[in-house]
Amino acid sequence: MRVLLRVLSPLLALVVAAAGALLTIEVAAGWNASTDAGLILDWPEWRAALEERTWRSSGARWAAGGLAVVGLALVVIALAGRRQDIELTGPTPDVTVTTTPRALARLVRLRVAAADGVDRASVAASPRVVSVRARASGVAAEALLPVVRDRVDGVLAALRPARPPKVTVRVDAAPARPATPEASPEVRSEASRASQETP
Amino acid sequence: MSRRSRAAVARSAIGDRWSVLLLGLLALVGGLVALATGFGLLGDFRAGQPLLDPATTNALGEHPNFARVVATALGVLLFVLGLVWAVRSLRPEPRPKVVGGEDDPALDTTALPMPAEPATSEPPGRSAVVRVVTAAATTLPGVAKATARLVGSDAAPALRLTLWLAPEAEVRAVCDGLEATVLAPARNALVVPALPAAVHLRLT
Repeated sequence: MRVLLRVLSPLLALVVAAAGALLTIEVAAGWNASTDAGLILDWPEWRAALEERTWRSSGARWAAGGLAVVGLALVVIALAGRRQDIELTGPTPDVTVTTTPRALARLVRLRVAAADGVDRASVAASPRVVSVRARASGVAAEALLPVVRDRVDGVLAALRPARPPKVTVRVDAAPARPATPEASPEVRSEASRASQETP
Repeated sequence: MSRRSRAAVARSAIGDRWSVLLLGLLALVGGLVALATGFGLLGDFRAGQPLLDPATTNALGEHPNFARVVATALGVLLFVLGLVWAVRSLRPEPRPKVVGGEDDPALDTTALPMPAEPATSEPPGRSAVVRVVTAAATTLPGVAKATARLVGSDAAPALRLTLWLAPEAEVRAVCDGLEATVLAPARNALVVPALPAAVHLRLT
């Protein structure tokens, strides 16, 4: 979104500048000219078209709807254009340390997947939430849960995010060999921010 | 977290975001009002009127010069606003001119630890301090690659440093080693009392 914003912003700026230039040129030309014809734009024809269409006409409704949709898209792009960095505690106040959510997710996934009894792990991270999903192999899911939690807490303790994210861990049991997919017990654990800060 | 080190994290997009947001809100509200008019929410009479109401054109026709002046002023305003917006949006991020910056040969690089072997992939034309800071940062354990640049104003320069870490790197050790290995020598070399730094960590 930030890249889109960076590309779109100067283009929109040029559109605004061009609209202003055209308006000035046309008004100035119409001021002096004896005829009613536009200099660059054929505005007498636009004027005729605007005078014969009512607000109720389908053309006007479609144009209005299109304008609203474009406006909404611009608002979304502008609001989503912030950086998604995760801020870590720097060594001194004059040093700001940041990392990307992807890097945090990868670090957590590597640590969790390296634990004994974890078959596979997937991690999604944002500045506010780290959610881990692991699958046990040869170990009960309940027994694996604290191990996985410890690993996640270990990564966060090493990185020290300035605002500790909420951690959600979910461990799925290993699929039984005679596959019964509907009977796949799982356990969950959720920790609030407060409990994260006091390990 | 000082304000200046935080400002050095990335080039600010706040101007672009506000401009696009305002334009978007204008289009959104205008479109919604036009839709409401078209569906008769503002009265059946209004919905049946032409888009360019004869009453409006008549009113403008009675004061043609006033209408022209207003339209010209609006056009000039839009033109200037659009150009200012475009220039601000396209202008490259300014680099501070500091001792040891772009072309200063007086930089005391001896204060900075140099890597055992000089990096060969150095793009030419970078400032001495950036080159040396980058080299020093790569001597930290677990740092595979580093890029640096000076940001901020001439009077208040700051350092933006991006480090690519190996996944097994000790992040705490890297952060704690920054001050002694990179920042303190860089401050000495640049002869500035404070050099706020924004460090962005990535994985290789």
